[in-house]
Amino acid sequence: MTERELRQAVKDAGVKLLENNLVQGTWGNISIRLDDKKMVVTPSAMDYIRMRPEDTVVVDIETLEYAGDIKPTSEKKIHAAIYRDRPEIGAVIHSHPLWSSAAAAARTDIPVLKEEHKKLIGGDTVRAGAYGLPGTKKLTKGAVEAMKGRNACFLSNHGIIACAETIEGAFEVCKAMEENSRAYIESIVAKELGKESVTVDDIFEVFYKRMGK
Amino acid sequence: MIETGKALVIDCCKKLAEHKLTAAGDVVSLRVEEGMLITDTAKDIAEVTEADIRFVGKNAAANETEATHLAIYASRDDINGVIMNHAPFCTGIAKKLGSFPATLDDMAQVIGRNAKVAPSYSATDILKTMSGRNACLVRGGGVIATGRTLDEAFTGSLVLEKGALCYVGSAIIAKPVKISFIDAVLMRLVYRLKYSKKDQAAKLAEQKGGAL
Repeated sequence: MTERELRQAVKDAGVKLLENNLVQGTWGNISIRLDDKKMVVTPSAMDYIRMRPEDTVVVDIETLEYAGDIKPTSEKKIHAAIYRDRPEIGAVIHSHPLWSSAAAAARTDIPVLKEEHKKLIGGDTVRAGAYGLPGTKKLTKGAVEAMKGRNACFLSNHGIIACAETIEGAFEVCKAMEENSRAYIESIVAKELGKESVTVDDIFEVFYKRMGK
Repeated sequence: MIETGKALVIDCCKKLAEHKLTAAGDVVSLRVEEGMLITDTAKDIAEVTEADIRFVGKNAAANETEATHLAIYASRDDINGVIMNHAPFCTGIAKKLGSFPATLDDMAQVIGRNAKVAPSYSATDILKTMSGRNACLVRGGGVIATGRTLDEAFTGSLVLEKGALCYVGSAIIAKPVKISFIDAVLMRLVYRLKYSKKDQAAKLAEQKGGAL
């Protein structure tokens, strides 16, 4: 794909994230590898609907340098670190899906339940990266460590990272993460209440019990 | 100009319904010169049309809901959009808890370090509970989310519901880990003064151009 086509693909992926409620507002960020040395990333704090393909930013994977006045996402370090560590990766998505973020808020690893999800996520568990403030080295280091041998991880108290050879593949990993996280939470509730399927009321029944209410 | 403001309100209502964040009695309002545009409490949010949105002057509230919206605009210069809705996880928390902490950075940024539950929908209770924050829950009721623009209030509704779901979900998996006080305050400052400033300024200019 040409640089122009990649910029359009990043813009389209941003809209898709928003439409699928995988991010809210201007959060989350996307990148696609341009070549061995560069990646195209989303700009910082710009609404995906308003964002134009030319607002995306080409960033050097080694130096994080970029040209022009538009600032790239503050999480460019995570994207670049993954491309440096994993030559086979062509696209990275950082998103904030609902159920996956619940696991991220517990700062704990969770099992992957279905075989189809194990193939996409790349293992039997999803690890939680160490907590760090947005844009910090600690957050980047934690994400890279948690991603070892996997295509996704939780970012503690933050969201998830998903990657694949293509942007379409990275979306599939995002969806697998969300389906697995929801299934895991619901399986705990189902087991505790002795039910096969659960409702929001069932989830609250277990939650109130946890809270002593 | 009022028509543009009504279009913004209708768009917001549609998005709330699409995300399944609403129930009967929900209301959306937008600050305009000398008052506000507000939806009819009797109308299903998903079906709101221009005819269901009316202008209410600063001192012309016809009921407690309108009085609360006007009181929020009167006491908070930073707020230009207010949403009252019934998102399922927020509603569940509002039944039995007095507050819940931010366990995600986006909630700390947009809403504050926690969301408290107001004892009633009265203007006094809502303003007190929302002090230093952009949203609150209401005991036995739903959610009030506000923003510098109606767009930010909508994002606040989404983020608050996600924050509620994550607090509940993380308690079921293991134990919720809340964002520390210092990190939450830092995140909110960076969000309001730096991260969102340009985006919200552009959206407020559009909102004012159309409705103020």
